[in-house]
Parts: sequence; structure tokens; C-alpha cells
Amino acid sequence: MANSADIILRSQGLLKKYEHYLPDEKPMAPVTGKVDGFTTMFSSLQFNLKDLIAKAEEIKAEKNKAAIATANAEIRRGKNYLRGELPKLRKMMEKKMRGLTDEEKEERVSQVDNFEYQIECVPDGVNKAPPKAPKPRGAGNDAGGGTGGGARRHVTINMEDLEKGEGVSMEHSKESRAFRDEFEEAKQRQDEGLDEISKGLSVLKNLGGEMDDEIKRQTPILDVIDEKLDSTTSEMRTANGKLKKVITSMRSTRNFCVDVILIFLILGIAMFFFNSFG
Amino acid sequence: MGGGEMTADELLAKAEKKMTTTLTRWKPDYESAMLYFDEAATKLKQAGRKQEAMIAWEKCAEANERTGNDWHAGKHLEQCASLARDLALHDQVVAYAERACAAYVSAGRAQRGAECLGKIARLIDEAAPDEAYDLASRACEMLEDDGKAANARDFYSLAGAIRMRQEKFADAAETMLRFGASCDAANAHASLRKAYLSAVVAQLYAGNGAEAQQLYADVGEIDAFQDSDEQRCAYSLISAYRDADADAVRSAIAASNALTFLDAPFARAARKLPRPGHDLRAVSIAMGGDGGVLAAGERFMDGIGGGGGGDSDLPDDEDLT
Repeated sequence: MANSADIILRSQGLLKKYEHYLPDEKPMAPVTGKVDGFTTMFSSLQFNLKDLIAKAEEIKAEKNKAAIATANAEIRRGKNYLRGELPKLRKMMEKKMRGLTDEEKEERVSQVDNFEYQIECVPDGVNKAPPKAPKPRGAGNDAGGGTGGGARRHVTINMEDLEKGEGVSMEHSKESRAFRDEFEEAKQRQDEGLDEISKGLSVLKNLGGEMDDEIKRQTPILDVIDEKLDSTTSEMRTANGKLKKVITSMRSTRNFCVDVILIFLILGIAMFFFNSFG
Repeated sequence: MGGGEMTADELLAKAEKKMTTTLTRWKPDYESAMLYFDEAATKLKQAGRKQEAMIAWEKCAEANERTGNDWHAGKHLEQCASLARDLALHDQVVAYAERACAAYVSAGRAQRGAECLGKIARLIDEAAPDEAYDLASRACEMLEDDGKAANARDFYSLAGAIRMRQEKFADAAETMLRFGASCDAANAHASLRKAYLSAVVAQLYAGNGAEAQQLYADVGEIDAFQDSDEQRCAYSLISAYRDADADAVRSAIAASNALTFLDAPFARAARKLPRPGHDLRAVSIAMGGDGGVLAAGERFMDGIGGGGGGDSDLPDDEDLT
């Protein structure tokens, strides 16, 4: 029963076993031909860059946005790593300049500059534009608004406008002030209550989401259990049938009668011999 | 086969004998050896002789493998791994975990193998975090390859928690991104949203505002993440960082319930934003913002102090009257 993990493990085992037969994969060899610390470091960094470029190529064909996001993040990480290694490479280059001709020195400098340019050219989906705002919630009605009855008419009550535009000719009396204060207090209590409800609802929403995910996870498991139980039931039925056949063949009524008659026969013969010699 | 009265050492000796050939027995009797080893190991563990119990179970697993009983071999190797963890032999824990996983995979139970790796990763997550992270990551990869991404959720959470504890926040963010991709494959939308919000929080906690912003741009297009509370929360945090406004960051955290429902390490990190050691202005500028109100004021003061800088934005001396 092959599965992908089994195949991967076995192929890894085979690769390990026959590793020494594999050709040595030399990354892009340096042009100068002189091998020192700089060339080793440079070739390993070029190897990393090749991997990044290959990953960027793979993303182009990818349609799944989540996979693109993950791959972009990995590429950005790889690029940041290479950018961090560039100063070390330049330092190594400075150190190993002794014994080289001017042409070779220039060659190395241009290789490193070209390498830096190649790093920056790898596409990673970066742009410094401001983040895209999410769509506003609902139809954009203010708090306390109401919607009209018909399909086209929307009646909205804008509380802020009401508060702003108090009657110009109205003057506050003692009662109206008291009523106003009571109104503000009630509004505040209502707001607090609504906040509590909102918190409770968000907890419920979170629970609902978790339950949804869990049910999605367990549905295929239940399907598998269902299949296995079906096959077990049919096997049990077969086994029961066979058992019944075996028991019937061992303890059928016909055999029982034959056994009883034979026993009587033997007893009769024994009595006869007992009587004749007794 | 009753070894009820025999001591563990006697059982071990009998089992060793069964593994060898004699004149009367030309093939080793692996089944009996397995039973003796199992019983001996149980008794040794009860007696507290863990090292010997571990070796006994390893031999039991070997006997199982010889008879082709890979499932039981895997179970015994798991026992060895947990004993090795009690003895603080982390290298051996990892080795036993890998062998147990290979045994399960040979038995055709790849999912069980992956879960074994994850279980052992959980055992050693505090003592050997890097190894635990590797085991958890491999468990997740195996489950995804097997098409059972939905079961990888716990292991991704574990991997993210390990990286947060190690203060490797960029790695934690990357792990959460992979978790999000895995949730996308499994249609687990609630977990996906939380994973991406956790990734943004981890990057902001590390002070990588630009990376957090880019992450948001990448995942903002994903259907399951759009128009969610988590997206709104992420947007408000990133905008606040872009404006270098610490109060806006705090009010975004206080206003959002989504952050409280994240995994514990990420929820704790979110509550601590913005971190006191971070230079909000530098982060804002790195994100492409203008460095916030303070930076604008400083530029103004620099302009006045510098004199004839020739900057057209700065007011002339006549205008100050």
C-alpha cells in the first residue's frame, strides 16, 4: 500500500545509498579560475540565488494566493539573507585581492556588483504603497440608523446631525436639563450593554468558526470510519454464515438421531452379551 | 508464555536467547522474543531502570521489524523516544522519533507517523526547541503531502509557539504563513484568518513594519481573509505603525477582539505592542510612511535651525510674523 510519505522515505534511502554515484553539481564556476575563500563563498551564494530565482519562476505559474503569499515571504527572506551576506562577501574580496592582476580585481568587483543587481531583480511582490483598506462593514449606515421599507428607499436617522442641530430657539429649563442628563445616562448604559453583547457575540463567532473548522476536519474521518465499519459488518456476516454452516454440519438433528440409535444398539448388544454370559 | 513470576532480567535473558539460533531451532523465534522484551521493558520501567527499559523496547521493536510487524515496532520506538526524553538524551529522542515514523510509514500509516513526530516534538519543545521545531515542521509537511492538511493544525501552532518562545519572530511569522496556506488547502477559514493575523503581529513585534505591510498586501487578496475582523485589525495596526502613532496602535489593540482569540504567544505579543524599544519613526519611514507627527515637527525644527536650506516647504522668515 504505497503512500507519498513512504515513497519519499524510500527514495531518500536510495539516494543516500547511491550518493557517491551522483555527478558533482558544481554551481556556476568563477571566471578567474583561481579558487580561494572568495570564490567558494561567491559560488555558494550564487547557488542560493539560483534557488530563489527558481522559486520566483514557480510562483508565476501558481494561482493559489495563499501559496503565492508564502512563497513571496520565503523569497523576501532569502533576499534579505543574501543582502546581509553581501558586505561579508565584499570584505572577503578585499582580503583576497593580493596576488591578483588588475583585470582580475576589476572582474571580481564587477561580479559582485552584478550579483547584487541580480538579487534586487528577483521579483518578490514588494511595493511600498499604503496598505489597501478593507471594505467598510455593512451598507455604511451610521449607528442608530434605520432602513426604510421599500427596495429603493432608505431612511436613515443620523444621531450626530440630531445632536448638532438642536432647535435654535429652544432654551433649556430645569426639567429639560434633567431629562437630558437622564437620557445621556441611559444612552451610556445602553452603550455599555451593547459593548458587552458585542464581546459575547465575538466569542460566539470565534467558537462558531472553530467548530466549523473542527467539523470540516472530522467529516472525512467519519467517512473513513463509516466505510471501515461497512466492510467489517459484511465480513462479520460472512463469518457468521460460515460458523452457522460448520455448527449445523456438526450438530444437525439427523446426526443426533443416528447417534442415539447407535447408542441404543450398542447398549442392546451389551445387554445381550451380559444376559447370555451373566 | 507466562512470565508472570520471572524478573525483568530473567525475561531479558530469555528474550535474548530466543533471538539466536540453536541446534533445535534454526530460525530465531522473534514473536516470543518480542513478548519477553515487552514484558521485561514494562517491568524495568516500573522499577525505574529507564535506560535498560529503553534498550529492551528498542530490541522489541527490532524483533517486530523482523517479523514485519511495523505498526508495533513504531509503537515501541515511540516508547523508547519518551524514555529518552525522560533521560534528557535529546539526540536519541530525535533518532527514535525518525525510526518510529519510518516504521509507521512502512506499515502504510503515514498519518500516524507524522502524528508520532508531532507528539515527540511536543515532548521536547522546551528542552530542545530547534529539534522540536524540525520535527513539527516535518510532521506538517508529511500531513500536507498526504492530503491531510487539516490534521496539521496543532503542529503548526506548536511550531509557531516554539519560534515565538525563542524570540525568532520572523521565523514565527513565516511558520504562520505556511499554516495559513495549509488552512487554505483544508478550507479551514477561521484558522486561516487567525494564522495571517498572527503573522502580521509577529512581524510588528519584531519591528519589521515593512515586512508586515508586505505580508498584509500579499494575503489581503485571499478570499477567506477579506472582509474579516482579522483583516480590519491587521489594517488598523499597520496603518497606525505607518503613521508612527503609538496611541493609535494601542487603541487598535483595545478595540479589536480578534487579537484575544489568537494562540497564546501571539495574543501576548499583541498586547505588548508597540514595544518600547522600537523606533516607530524609523519603522514608519521603512514602510513608506512619513515618520509621523514627531518626525514632521523635527523636520520643521531642522529647517528653521538650518537657515538657508532652500527647502520650499519651510516657511520663510517673513511668514513667521
